[in-house]
Amino acid sequence: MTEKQTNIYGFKNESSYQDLFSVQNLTSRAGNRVIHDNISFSIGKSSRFIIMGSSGAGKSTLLKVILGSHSYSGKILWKNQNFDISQLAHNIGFQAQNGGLLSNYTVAENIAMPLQYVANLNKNHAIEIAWAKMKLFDLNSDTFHKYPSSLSGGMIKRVALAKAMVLDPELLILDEPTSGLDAVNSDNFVALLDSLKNVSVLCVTHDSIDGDQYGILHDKKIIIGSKKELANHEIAGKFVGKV
Amino acid sequence: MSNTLILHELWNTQNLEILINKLNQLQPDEIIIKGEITENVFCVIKIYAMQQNFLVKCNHENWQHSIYTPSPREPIPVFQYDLAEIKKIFEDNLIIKPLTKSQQIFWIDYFNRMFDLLFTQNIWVISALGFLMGILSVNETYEALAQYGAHFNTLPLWHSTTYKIISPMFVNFIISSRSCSAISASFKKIANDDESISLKLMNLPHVQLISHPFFVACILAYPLLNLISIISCQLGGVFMFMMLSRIGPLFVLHEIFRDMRLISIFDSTLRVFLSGICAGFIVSIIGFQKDKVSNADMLISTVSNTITAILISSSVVTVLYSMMRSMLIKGTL
Repeated sequence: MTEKQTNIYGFKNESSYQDLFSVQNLTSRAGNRVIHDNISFSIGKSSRFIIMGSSGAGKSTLLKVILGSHSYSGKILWKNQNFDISQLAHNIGFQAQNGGLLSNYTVAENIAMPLQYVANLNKNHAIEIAWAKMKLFDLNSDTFHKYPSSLSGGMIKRVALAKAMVLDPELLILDEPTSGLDAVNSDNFVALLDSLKNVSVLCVTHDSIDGDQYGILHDKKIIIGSKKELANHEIAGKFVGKV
Repeated sequence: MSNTLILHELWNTQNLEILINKLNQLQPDEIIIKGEITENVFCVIKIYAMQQNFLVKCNHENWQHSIYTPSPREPIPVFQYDLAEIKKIFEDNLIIKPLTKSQQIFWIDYFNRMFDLLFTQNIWVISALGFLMGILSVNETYEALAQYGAHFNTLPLWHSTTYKIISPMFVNFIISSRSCSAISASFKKIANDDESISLKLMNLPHVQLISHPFFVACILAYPLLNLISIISCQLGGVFMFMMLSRIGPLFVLHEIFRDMRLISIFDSTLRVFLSGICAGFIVSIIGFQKDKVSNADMLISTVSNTITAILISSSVVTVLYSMMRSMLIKGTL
């Protein structure tokens, strides 16, 4: 979780930051109802943080808070700096629950979109890179010109993951990546996820995805620990036990 | 006055229906259980008690632990959305900010796609159906009035019906049936959904780059489609008049377009927009209710597609019927 950095005196020392991304004392509400009460957690470099919890516990809302679509109080930090999503577009990849693909754009255009509008590449170059990315994510050439509506659930998830990874982000945020998939497709997706290197993952899920740390949302709070630590926990154990 | 129901008998799942009827008939304020009851029976009583918000007195030793003590009911939220949050979304999105170059490219690209969806893909359907509707409406009008010898008065009457009622209604049916998912999806963009978050992550303000091009495409496509619908409808009518009355095409065309003024087109276009706004309003109201967007889409698509299918089939049948009758009169058959 640490890296060598050069300080102002020119000495190489341990990193000034340990966590890539952290949430500190975050509280969010929907009207008068508190959804998250003073929760904190952090994600290290290249680690995987899995958020679990029962339905309605506020998992997806937590992602909306992080992605700047829901108001909150508290701190969200990126490498110890204030987290501003608009400035970090190239560092964050997001795979939405339903894919988040634009329905009137082809698969290739959808994947190429971050390259065009964040990396400011022209469309031809962006499509070329998208083509290469698609091969990496086991998407065959048939899907290239298809529209999202004609793809299966598993395929949409793959395309969405390819789109999220197209800028080689440092943090990948996944919202229920295996929901709606059958066991085979779900396992394939998890295997694909396991093959990703040098990327931190923040994943909200109900399913069995291995992680370095788990955060269980319960009663507006978060219970954090590794699988081993949470296995015997009264509440968290029920969720982690499934993994 | 208190209305007490005392349950002495042996109640079980077999006579559950009798119990429910009894509860509905008597509507007791208090239920005292003295006899043996099963779990299912207790559930029914408990649900009833919760609905009425009163106490179930439970005297049987087996059910002592399950006595339901009512608590003040939590008020059911009428409006489940956070108004402050909605206000913030509107403030963030409805203020038009200058677009960067890449955002401008996206705007134009999205506008082209939306205009294609609304106009180019609908133009052939609108033209063909307009023509068939012209035939259908003239056939019906002519049938009704011809027997009183009012052949020529039917022309302006039919003509005004076409541009005032048929075409605007028609354009809305076609657009909503073929593109309603785009309409409701566009309204949905104002709320936070997965697509809008994905766009936000790419520094693309979703309302400005999705809803605005769609709105502009609507403003342009609706009047154009309406004009095409009116013209094709008139031409269909001319064709039918010629078939039914043996009047020359030039005379019919002259009669039909004699009353055509710019104000007529404007009137018709206004009707298109007003009915379009009503449709959009309904879609947005339903669409804003969480998780009902797809239901609204499906409902409107199904209704519109059904009406369009009826229009097409009835038009085709009428054309065939009229042609056969005309041929019979002329002695060709």
